[in-house]
Amino acid sequence: MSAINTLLPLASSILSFVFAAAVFQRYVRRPTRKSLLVWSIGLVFYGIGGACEALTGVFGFNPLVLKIWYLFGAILVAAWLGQGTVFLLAPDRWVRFTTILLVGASLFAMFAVMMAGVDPNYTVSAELTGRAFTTTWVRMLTPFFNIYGTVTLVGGALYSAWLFWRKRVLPHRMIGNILIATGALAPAFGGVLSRFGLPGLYLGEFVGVFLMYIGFLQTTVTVAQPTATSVAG
Amino acid sequence: MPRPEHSEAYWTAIKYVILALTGLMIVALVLALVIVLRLVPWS
Repeated sequence: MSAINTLLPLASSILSFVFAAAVFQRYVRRPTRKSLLVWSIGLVFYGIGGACEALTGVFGFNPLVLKIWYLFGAILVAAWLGQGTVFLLAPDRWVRFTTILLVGASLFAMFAVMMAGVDPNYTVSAELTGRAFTTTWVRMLTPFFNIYGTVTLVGGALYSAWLFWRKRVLPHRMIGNILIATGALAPAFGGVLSRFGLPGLYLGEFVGVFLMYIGFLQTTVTVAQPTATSVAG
Repeated sequence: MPRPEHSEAYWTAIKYVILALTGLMIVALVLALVIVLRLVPWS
């Protein structure tokens, strides 16, 4: 494996943990905003995924690292990030229903991945992939979680951006949401490329977390509104 | 609330960016469905 396949996920992992800490710190200041807590959980999953990729780059293939990577980095991350958006935008009834469903599905996925067989002699070419699983049906779980994650995270960010666009207000939040949507799409396409045997997952993950972090900073920036006097003057 | 100082061209460009990203999201979802269909045993 080339150094880039170690350094890129390492950078993604560090950035994800820093991002998670920033979001969690914001949650501590505003504990009523549960969306921040769920996003920080999703970002910790993102960081774990990147760390597993970097570990594989340094020490080579390990079945346990593959399973941890597959669970957190391939299956859970997008769905949990998307669930944060559900907490932000959806009515309480939907939040409760989808959270129960997601927690149940996540526990099932954890059980399925931990029980799944792995080819111990699998040789990783460039990027980690689920092809090492000998229990192949476990790989069928991933698209369902990722479809949910893409719809909620990307769709939610685009919906928010559109609301700001329609009202012509808070352009920094609109741009922030556009960056979050773009960032969320990057690993989604990286994952699709990986499924078709093409490289791009690690780059997509790094670009993704970088853009989402910039987007988050944009949405949280405090912009001084002109006072009535300054507008009138 | 006062309107931010951006030209109409800026808002039009943003509209197309949002539409383009929505299109990309749909493409990503279709590809994910293709992956599911490739994996199911009866396909």
